[in-house]
Amino acid sequence: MSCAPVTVFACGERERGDDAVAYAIVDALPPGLRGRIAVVRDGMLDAGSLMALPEGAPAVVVDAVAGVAPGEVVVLPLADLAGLARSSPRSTHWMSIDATVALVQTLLGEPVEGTFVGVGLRDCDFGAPLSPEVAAALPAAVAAVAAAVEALEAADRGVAR
Amino acid sequence: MTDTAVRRIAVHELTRVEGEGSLTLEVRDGQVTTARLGIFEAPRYFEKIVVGRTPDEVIDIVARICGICPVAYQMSAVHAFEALFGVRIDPMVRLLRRLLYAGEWIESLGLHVYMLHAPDFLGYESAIAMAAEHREAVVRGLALKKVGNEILRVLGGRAIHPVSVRVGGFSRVPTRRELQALRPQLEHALEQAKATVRWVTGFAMPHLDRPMRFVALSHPREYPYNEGRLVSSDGLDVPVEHWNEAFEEFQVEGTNALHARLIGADGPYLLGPAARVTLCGDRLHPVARSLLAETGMAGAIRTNIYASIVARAVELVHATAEAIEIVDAYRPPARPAEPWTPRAGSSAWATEAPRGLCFHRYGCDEAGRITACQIVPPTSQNQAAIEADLVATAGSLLDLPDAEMTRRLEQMIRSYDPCISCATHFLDLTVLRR
Repeated sequence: MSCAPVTVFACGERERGDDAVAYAIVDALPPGLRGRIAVVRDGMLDAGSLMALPEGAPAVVVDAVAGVAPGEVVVLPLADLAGLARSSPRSTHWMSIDATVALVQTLLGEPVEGTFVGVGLRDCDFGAPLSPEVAAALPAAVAAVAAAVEALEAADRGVAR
Repeated sequence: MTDTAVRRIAVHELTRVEGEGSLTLEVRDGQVTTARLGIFEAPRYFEKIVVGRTPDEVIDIVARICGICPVAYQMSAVHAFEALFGVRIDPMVRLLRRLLYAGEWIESLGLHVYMLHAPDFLGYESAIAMAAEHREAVVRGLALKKVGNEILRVLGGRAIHPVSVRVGGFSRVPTRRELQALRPQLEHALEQAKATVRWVTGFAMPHLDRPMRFVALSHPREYPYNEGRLVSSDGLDVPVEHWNEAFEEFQVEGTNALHARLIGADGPYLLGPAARVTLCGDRLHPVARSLLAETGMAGAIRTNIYASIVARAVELVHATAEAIEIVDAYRPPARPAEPWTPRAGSSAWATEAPRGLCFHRYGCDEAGRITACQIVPPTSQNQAAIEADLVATAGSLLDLPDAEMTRRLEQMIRSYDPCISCATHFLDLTVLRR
């Protein structure tokens, strides 16, 4: 039990259409919940930021994702996400979220506790607003992040679920 | 008809390089006849995108060419515009630009040494795999990259794709206190950079003894970032604006990136850390120069591309040590940017990206809007050297199983730290109408 607040990492680029969805989600979280969590607007998930969390402190990572339908909300334990990382990344302008989590798990020697919430994107054009599909998915995505935070808080308090 | 044995080695996706490329090697009768570094990442037409834009817009647009070395593109562009418009920048702005570049070198060189290249020498397929047994080293690499990104954030407003560089200076300059806040991290980073040099010097390196033609900027008093003359290891010494008179670009079948060659010379040339350390090593920061001497690797850096990892580590020390000195010397300038007036004409400049010389040429109209643009990134210039080294050395690997041969060839390519995304921004578009 860490007693540390849940940290929500909002990843993406604010100026690029659906890639800004994580910021819209954290801005729309209920005020009561926002007061209990730490929010890191990280652009790209940084391994150092993840490693700097207090021992056992859980995290929720939020980002736009490709490969699912626009607006579809995907929820995965971070440990499962790490399992999706390619062992030999094809390109490294920097590491993808799955590779970052996998690297941090390897460095820590234990699974990273937390949840990934992704929202399927349609367009990432510069200066564009959220696409209609992603904008329509915001309530569900906000609810998914809130549920993830509450589940992690409950687990941290030792409440059986 | 001759009875020939043809073996074709194809690496369809090069790993641990920036961007997407491939390698095809053709072997006939036991001789490597062709090596082709295929750059199939789609062209991005930046040279056309900037036409009609203002200089300050261009500076932000070209930063988007690369997420690892955006400062290189910004610096080459802003210096070209300032040369054309006759802008004299404040000495402190000049220092801040060196600091911004140092930040980029730290994050880019640190990334390459630790995450992309070191796994080759230690026998791992990735940095993630390496992390299990080399935790301390990987944490060191992550920390170095973070310090570099933090410099970009403080000076450029963002850790990736900074947005503060403007013709005449910056849109905003930091306070002295903001820069001083970087000092403890930089002091720690300097120790980590020194440890990096000692770490990579201990790596077992494949033997290679191939003297190379090096090209870099050379400044009389400083290790080169933003200023200097174009020099080579075989006597070239011309103003940076004369790149087009000394070099030329040309298309090669099977790749979306132009190659480049030194006019009137046989064979390729090499840019980047090995070239800079060889041509400008006497202007390294004293701490870096002393460490280079301690490694005893200066000779190997000249003839063995695998030893470029040592040159990168030495430059990490240089960039970090100079960054500390700039932080200490900094006093905010009277104003963040000097005023300027556009004029028609053309101008060219080159600066030293982490991977080597990044050349820009712009034409502007009376309002300063761009009429023409040429961008020559370092990776495109290094392609010919990479292919020549592959042809020359792959013959000695032919007895190896394909998987091991592929691994060794990839290691050689990674020694050049190619940034394929950077190299696909300048494809000439030719439409044949019949």
